[in-house]
Amino acid sequence: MITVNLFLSGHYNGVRLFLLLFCLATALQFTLHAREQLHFWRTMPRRVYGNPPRLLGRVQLPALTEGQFLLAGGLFVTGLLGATVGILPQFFLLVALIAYFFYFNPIMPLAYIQRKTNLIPIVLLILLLSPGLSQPLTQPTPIWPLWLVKAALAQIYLSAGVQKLRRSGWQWGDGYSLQAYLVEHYLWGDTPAAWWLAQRLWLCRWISRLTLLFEVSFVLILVFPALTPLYVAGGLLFHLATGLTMRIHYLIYLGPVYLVFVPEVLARVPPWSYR
Amino acid sequence: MIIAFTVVLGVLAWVTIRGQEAWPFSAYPMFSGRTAINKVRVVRIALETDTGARVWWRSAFYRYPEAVGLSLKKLYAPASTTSTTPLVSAQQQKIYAEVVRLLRQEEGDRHRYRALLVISRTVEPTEERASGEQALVIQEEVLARLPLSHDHS
Repeated sequence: MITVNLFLSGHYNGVRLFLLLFCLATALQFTLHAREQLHFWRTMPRRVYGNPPRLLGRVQLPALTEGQFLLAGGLFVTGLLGATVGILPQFFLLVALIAYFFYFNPIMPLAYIQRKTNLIPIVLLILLLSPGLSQPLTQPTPIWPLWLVKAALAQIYLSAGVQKLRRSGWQWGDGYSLQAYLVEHYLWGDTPAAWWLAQRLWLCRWISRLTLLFEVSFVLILVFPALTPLYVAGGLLFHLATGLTMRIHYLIYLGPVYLVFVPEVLARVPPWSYR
Repeated sequence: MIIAFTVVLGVLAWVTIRGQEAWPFSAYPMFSGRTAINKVRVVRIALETDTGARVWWRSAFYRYPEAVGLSLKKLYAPASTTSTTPLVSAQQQKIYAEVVRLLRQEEGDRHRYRALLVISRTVEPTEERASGEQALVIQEEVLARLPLSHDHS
């Protein structure tokens, strides 16, 4: 009888597992949206939005020709897929990381890209520096890379909450601000869910308070892993709700980052045995 | 490894504490301001068809109408409507030209539109009902109507 227990914490290569999941999922999302992203590039967004953001707030990346833009996209997805093969993963991760900046920079104003792809290069950088990328899944590896990815994810929510408290204080939770943002989005885009919710101030109030609480406390999963399922569910629900009411679609390119929790979930699966 | 770990954590903490943007690191300041529905004012572009009907400009990339609306909102701010300077007028014309360009690019034949309308939208709340619902009434004002020439070039 062979007893196989792959997924107990410390007994498997969670980093390589996450690399496989993240790179494949991101490559899939990219492929599904590549045509739309090219169409957006062709509308010359710079003419409406001005210059794209500077790298690290300092370096203005050069404008690309269409051929260069397509090449950057090709290198990005090639890097992602190449990293999953297990041969020279650091090289392919570096290719994907560099290509990311050139490809996504000019199309940053696209609704599901602006800020929603921010974690892609951060995760690629963390993976690039991680041990065990080529090791088998049964080979134990340190878990700090996964912890750091979770910290990057937690920073999104923590910072969003901190900025609300900084600008508005706890009064942000009184519901009036959320109501106004919902109304604004309805006036722009006729989203019925936003209009329905905006007419229920008491509900806006509760959602505002829960949102603030969720955002400032998400970081607790880093020290209390038992809270992870609650906050992951909360995060997914949060993004589904903003997608429905405000057409803010974070999960297209942030969803693959949430796969960082899969190794942890699998670690709780009871060991199985083969005869 | 420890240095890299510390640097990544440090930058994440820095943008959070300072509230600054350093793409791809961000403070995610969206929706952080305090506001209320009586302060909401949206400027939106509508299109007058050849039959006289009015339809909203809906781009395949829905942020375009929003971005255009935000730019026009500044140019049509109440303080500026009483004295439209040549600079403001030139900026408005540039924006309208971009709208027409995007329309042509996305829809091809724009000849079915005879005018572009700039519409301001606000909301008036009514009293809150016992059920907790608050009916909201939308108010609209046409700020400008720009005839579109039928350019066959």
